[in-house]
Amino acid sequence: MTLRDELELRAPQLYRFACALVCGQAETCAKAADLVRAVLSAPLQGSIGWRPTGDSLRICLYSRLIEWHRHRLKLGGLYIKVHTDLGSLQLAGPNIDGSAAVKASPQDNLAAALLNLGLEEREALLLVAREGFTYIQAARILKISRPVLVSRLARARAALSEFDRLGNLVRTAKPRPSHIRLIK
Amino acid sequence: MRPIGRKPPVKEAELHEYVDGELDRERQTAVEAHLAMSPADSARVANWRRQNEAIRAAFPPLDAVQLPWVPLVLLEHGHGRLRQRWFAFAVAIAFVSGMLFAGCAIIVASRLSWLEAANDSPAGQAGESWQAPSQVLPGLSADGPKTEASKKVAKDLHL
Repeated sequence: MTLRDELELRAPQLYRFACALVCGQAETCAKAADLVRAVLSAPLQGSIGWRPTGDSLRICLYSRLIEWHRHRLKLGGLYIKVHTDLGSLQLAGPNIDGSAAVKASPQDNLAAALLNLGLEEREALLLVAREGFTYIQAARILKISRPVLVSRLARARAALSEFDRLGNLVRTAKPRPSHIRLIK
Repeated sequence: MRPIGRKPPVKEAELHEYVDGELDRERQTAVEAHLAMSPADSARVANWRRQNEAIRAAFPPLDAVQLPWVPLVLLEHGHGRLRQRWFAFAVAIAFVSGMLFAGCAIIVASRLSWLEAANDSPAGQAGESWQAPSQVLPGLSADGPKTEASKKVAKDLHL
């Protein structure tokens, strides 16, 4: 299998991961596409005559994508803060005026929950739960030790559980009546 | 101290490893036994499993992803550029090595020729290595300094 074939195989997986990481959604995400494009456009680093293949290539690509994403976040080139994306999502719960409850899709709720996580926790959770990397591989991608990865996973899961609990509370809450009334 | 034969207690990290299939058979059995005894931990594990499933389900399989334009031509160009860079680097290394080798060869050759010339000279053959002040400083003779400049030098050198 040539490098091109391997990268063509990996590109959709990378894109899907980038969408989850950047936007929290599987739909078309321009920022994620830009990130994947940047990662694939840069030559792979390695010693003379060495070219990563198979799992090594996969780990190398994901590692680079995460590095680029962090770098861009730091620079603020792509977006100032990930959490600004939360504003564009339709979350569950009543409207501000309490007039009608908004129905949020499970995808939107999940996206909001993912974006609500810290970046490190989100990376760890998506690598393990979404991409199916082993702990050792995920730790290599994130350049951390295995225990640190497990602690990030634990934090991510706890935060997701908390978000889900709060989300359920909001969803089950009755819409409150508006305090502003029109008096004729 | 833990009694012999009793398995170590299950830690939270192991619950995560259990959910993600990272445990070996022995610890997996231990965790399953623990979960059977602890409804709270069992609920947590079930919740984490649901989270994993929700994350997997939220992202469609590969064939359903609308892949954006990925410049694989650019990618190949990038790899070609890397190869060119390596080639340039190798050429530069070879050039510098060659220059160093040539420089060393010239120095060694000149030293050898100088030694040969020194051995061929009458002084060299006689084993004399001392040079008279007049040979070192023109204007100085065995009789004494002749010019003003050579007198000054001779004074400085206490000759």
